[in-house]
Amino acid sequence: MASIDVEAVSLAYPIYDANGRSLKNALLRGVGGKMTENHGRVDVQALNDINLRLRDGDRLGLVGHNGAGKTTLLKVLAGVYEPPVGRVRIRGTVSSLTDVTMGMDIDATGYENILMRCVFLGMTYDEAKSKIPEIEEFTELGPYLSLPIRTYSTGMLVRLGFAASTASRPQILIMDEMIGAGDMAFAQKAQARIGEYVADAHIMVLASHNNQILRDFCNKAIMLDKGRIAAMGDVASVLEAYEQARS
Amino acid sequence: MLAPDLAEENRALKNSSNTLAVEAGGIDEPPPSRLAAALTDFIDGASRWRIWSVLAWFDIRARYRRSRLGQFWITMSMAVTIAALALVYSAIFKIELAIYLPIVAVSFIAWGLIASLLNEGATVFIESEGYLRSAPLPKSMFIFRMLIRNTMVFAHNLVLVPIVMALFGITPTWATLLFIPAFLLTLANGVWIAMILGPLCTRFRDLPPIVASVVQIAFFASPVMWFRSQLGDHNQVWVMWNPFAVFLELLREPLLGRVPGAHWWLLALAITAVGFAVGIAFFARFRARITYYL
Repeated sequence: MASIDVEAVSLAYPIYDANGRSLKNALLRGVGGKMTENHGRVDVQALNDINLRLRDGDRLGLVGHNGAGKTTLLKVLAGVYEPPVGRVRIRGTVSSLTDVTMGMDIDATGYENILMRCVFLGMTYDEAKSKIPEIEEFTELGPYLSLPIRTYSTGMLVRLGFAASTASRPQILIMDEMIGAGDMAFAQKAQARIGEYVADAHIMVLASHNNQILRDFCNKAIMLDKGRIAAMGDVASVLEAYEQARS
Repeated sequence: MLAPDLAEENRALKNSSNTLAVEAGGIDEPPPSRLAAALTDFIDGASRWRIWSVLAWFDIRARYRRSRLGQFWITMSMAVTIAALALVYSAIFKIELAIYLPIVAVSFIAWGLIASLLNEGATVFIESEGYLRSAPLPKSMFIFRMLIRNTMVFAHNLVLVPIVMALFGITPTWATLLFIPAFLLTLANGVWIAMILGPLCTRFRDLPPIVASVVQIAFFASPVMWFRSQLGDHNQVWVMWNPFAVFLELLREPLLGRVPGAHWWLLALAITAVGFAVGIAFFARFRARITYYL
């Protein structure tokens, strides 16, 4: 059983410029009155009073304009950001596939990076090693896996990251745009793998600008506007509302 | 368009009785306190030892990658530094090299650990920005990564101690075993230092260079290259209450086969206790903000 509960969450990003990051200014602030109007800090309201409940079987699509708060909400749902206002309770193992090449060491070999990524996903060393044949087969990188990934092309790097990142089966899956992987020949194989990966997750949240992908993969949707939930419900009606609002 | 049969399967999972909408007050349990959340962070962090030990190992390897000696450059450069310093300063201080070199070797190696715990405690979250911003990982994991990495560096330097001892005919005694609790105590202090300096330096980016300068000054103000006895009776107070000197003494004396006095142990324990009290409170207060500071 996986679940996510979000209750009355509001989140403002403090944006610090060089002034706001300066210790001197922070200290002088108390002593000499207002140094700068905003103390080098601007708050950007990214989420505003979000209430949400996700249970097993939910495949939630997020739509909204750029800057509507989609990515921020994804990070809250993944547990990356702990919001200062409101509460979030996440139950289940979470994987957020925002960057498939996160934490890869360019001077380590393909094999080493696979092990590293699998350990990051919560596997033991033995479990990680047991994933290698499957990843070898999927990536088709062959002897390249023994070379430092510095020598890889971008496409090869994405293949490796994609295969390693999808090696575990998280209960909660959070994605910012559907992950794709490289060249055309590989795309079909990747799609099959994504399909399986998504189907195994108890809960999925996907933010995308591609409405067709949302219709294919999601059963529910939320439309965000300026950090607020503007519409929520089943995917068809929310997307319809969104498409109307845009045109 | 994307694997339609699987998309179909996904849709079949749809559970129409569920609703996204939730009334306020839907979460039935009371919110955890900040302190409890910080504690959970540490327990979660510790349980992911596989991740931080791999990260620490990759850190070390990344520094010395594609060099023939690899991480043994740590040992080599320490050996060269000690030899050079010992030759020059034994002449300046007019102390016999056979007496001066073993002491300065052990002091310098111990200082290396103390200094890097402070300097790297300051940058512990800044260096982990990529992970902290994209994955829900306990913050303490990165403190453990830093501690393990410095333990590895220290271990590479420690190899020199038995070599120096053998060269100068110093035999280990039972007191040498006291090095183990002294080392663990020093490492524990690295935890609370990172709990305070870590969030603070992430928020105020002027601080890491300030920390580095303070450590540099402390190096000259602490008996690393000189002896406490050289300071004269009147000025002992500068060393006796210098926290850097406390841990230096604790780490150094056992390696030289001597027992550090009770004064040093008690002071070290007091520093540890106060440090953790402040550190835990500070970390609990600002832990959740770290991601926003990045």
